[in-house]
Amino acid sequence: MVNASRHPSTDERIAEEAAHWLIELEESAADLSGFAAWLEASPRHVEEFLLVSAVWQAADGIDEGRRVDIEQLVAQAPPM
Amino acid sequence: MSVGKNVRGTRFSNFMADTASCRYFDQIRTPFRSPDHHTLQASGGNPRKVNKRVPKPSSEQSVAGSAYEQYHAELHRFLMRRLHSSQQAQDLAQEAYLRLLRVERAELVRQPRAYLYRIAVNLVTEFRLRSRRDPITYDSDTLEELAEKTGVEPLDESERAADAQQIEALLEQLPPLYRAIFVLRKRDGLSYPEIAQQLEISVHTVKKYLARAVAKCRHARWSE
Repeated sequence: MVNASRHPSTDERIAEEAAHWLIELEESAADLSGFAAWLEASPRHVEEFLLVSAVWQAADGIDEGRRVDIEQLVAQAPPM
Repeated sequence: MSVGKNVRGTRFSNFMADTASCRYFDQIRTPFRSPDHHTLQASGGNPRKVNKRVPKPSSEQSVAGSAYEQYHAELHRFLMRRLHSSQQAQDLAQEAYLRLLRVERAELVRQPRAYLYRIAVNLVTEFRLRSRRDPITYDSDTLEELAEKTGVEPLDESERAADAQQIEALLEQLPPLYRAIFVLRKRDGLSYPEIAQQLEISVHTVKKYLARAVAKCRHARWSE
């Protein structure tokens, strides 16, 4: 079922939605009902949420040596 | 009533039916919806097992603070090895989805993420057991031992460091602002409003870019 219709842009969209929920859930006022409904809408949502959870968790402890210079990154960014 | 009774069309259903009498599976019940959306707890099941049900996940608010406790190292290992779209990740998600639909609605809405993680952790354990050929692994004592063992085994330092290095490498491929937001959140632990203030952008933009960054990391080529 999910295999046949896999499409890169759809995959990316679902991954972004999953990441959106992951980020929202870190805040105390998160829309839990909305998130539950999103999960219940598709097994693909469940899959992507679990996978972005893994990425998010893997990012714990990044740059402990504090080599990333935020000022420098901001300076590199194109003007908004 | 077995957890697996309503599961159709998946390989799990046979597995679950085979092991329905196993004590372990009485432990992994969550308040599942019956057709009229009442929890199964009220309708009985095996009275001897009532107090062996898994406790409800603690409140959603606590999840962020103790993410490992909720999300589980074993699930993490499983998912990290399957970030390239894999059949096993799809199978896990498919079965987790079906089980999620059986969680009583009011319960699910209270702490959806904690329920999902708990269901997924249980499935990972079942997966591993199914992948073993030795029939003795279906013995309930072995199952319980394994469940206990995996329940207390955190990621070790080298695993966490390797994870972090992979993410750092992926972040280098992203636009500078995405990377700045990601680092301010995960390294410095800043809130979204704090990040917005520091970078002089809106909270909405912070979240939007962070979501894109996470999605891109998930889709980036992941070294085994």
